[in-house]
Amino acid sequence: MLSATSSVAAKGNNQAAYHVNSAYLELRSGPGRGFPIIFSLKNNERLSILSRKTQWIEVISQDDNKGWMHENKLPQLSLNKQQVSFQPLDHNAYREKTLELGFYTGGVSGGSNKNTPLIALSGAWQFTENYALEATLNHIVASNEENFLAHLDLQHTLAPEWFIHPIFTIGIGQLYTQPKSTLGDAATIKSSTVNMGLGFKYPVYQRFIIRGDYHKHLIISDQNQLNSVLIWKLGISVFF
Amino acid sequence: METWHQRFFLSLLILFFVPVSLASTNDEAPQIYQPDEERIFLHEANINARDFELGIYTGLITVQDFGSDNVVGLKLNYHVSEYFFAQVNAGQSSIKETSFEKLTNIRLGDNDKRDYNYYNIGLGYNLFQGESFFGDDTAFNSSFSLTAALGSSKFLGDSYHTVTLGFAYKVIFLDWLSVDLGVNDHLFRSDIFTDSDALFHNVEIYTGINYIF
Repeated sequence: MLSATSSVAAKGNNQAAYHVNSAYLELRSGPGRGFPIIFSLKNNERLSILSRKTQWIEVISQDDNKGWMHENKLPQLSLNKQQVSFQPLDHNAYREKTLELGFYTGGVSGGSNKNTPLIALSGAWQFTENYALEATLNHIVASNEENFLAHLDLQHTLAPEWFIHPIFTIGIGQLYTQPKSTLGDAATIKSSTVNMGLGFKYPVYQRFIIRGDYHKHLIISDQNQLNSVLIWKLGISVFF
Repeated sequence: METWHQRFFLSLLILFFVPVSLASTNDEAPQIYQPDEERIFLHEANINARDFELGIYTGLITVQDFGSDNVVGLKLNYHVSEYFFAQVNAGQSSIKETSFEKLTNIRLGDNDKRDYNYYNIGLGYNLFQGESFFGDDTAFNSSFSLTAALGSSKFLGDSYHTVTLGFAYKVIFLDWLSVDLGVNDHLFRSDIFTDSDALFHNVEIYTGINYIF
């Protein structure tokens, strides 16, 4: 199997290495079905690949005509008389991910607060197929206070080969609580937390994953009191 | 009882013989012509991708009861498909005097608390994509998109859980440059002026310039 990398990097029509091997190949003005078809390339016409945006590939023909084709049309090209195949994103690509970025919404219950809304951001480094290290920042706006909860978790993915699979997490964190300003200018309270949780991941569409999490956080305050809060989250993450 | 037995054995017969008969038809099927050539596999990672957009925008925002002021912000888009994109943005503005403050001469919050900051994380959908014509001969790619996001707005020292809905029109002038014009409505509930929570609508109109990479 030859590597296509060198010819992909090559730009300019004089180095056009690909040939159209179908009767014709239509090119659009932009990377989407809504953009008009601006011209067709004939059979055996040469072209090179310039760039990609989502599932669309920008090409330039030997006559310097630029346009976009969908990646599923790549088998209509050949390189050195060999037909080009394309490996679209599939579950294997998901399983080989190394990075995952997500955002969530959800609720916090515990103490005087019942289902206070939260917004969260997370970034994970997947160092094996089953294990990841994930950092999460939660912003919780309660009626009487504002909280930032940052935690670092070890995440275990069970059966990543399933389309929907469970995840288990255990981690530590810090909670910063700022009482609401109308109650006077109180100082920010800092507490340590430990947490454990479970959830699920569902790679739903292209690089999008739907995620749900349910965590229990134990908060160790300065007075050595132990409180617990329950957090549920639902969100979308993107993998790379 | 008898019919039950008949059904059971019939089902067994079907279970055993249908696969066998299918297999035998497969054997008789004409061989599909397999071209004798190797294929070249092209991988996504080998093609230089331009799925991100980083932008700066400026405009006007009306904070309900607190007047309008200039807003500036930063925005990052990641395009997952031709239709969907993820968006993160953050902006800063300030609030003007309310009629309450003008009439009573009571000032709400210190000067440093009269900033209005927000952030949003959400999803966008490209509803219409196509070409926009500027004159008879010049056309640029453009899109009209809808966005929905969740985030937080902070002013007078307090933060509010915020839902933001918006739309934007974008023209892509160069491979790496786009300009957009849009409207966002930031919605949250606050009890600043009332005993119970009232819904605040903060409408923002902006124009931005984006670097595509």
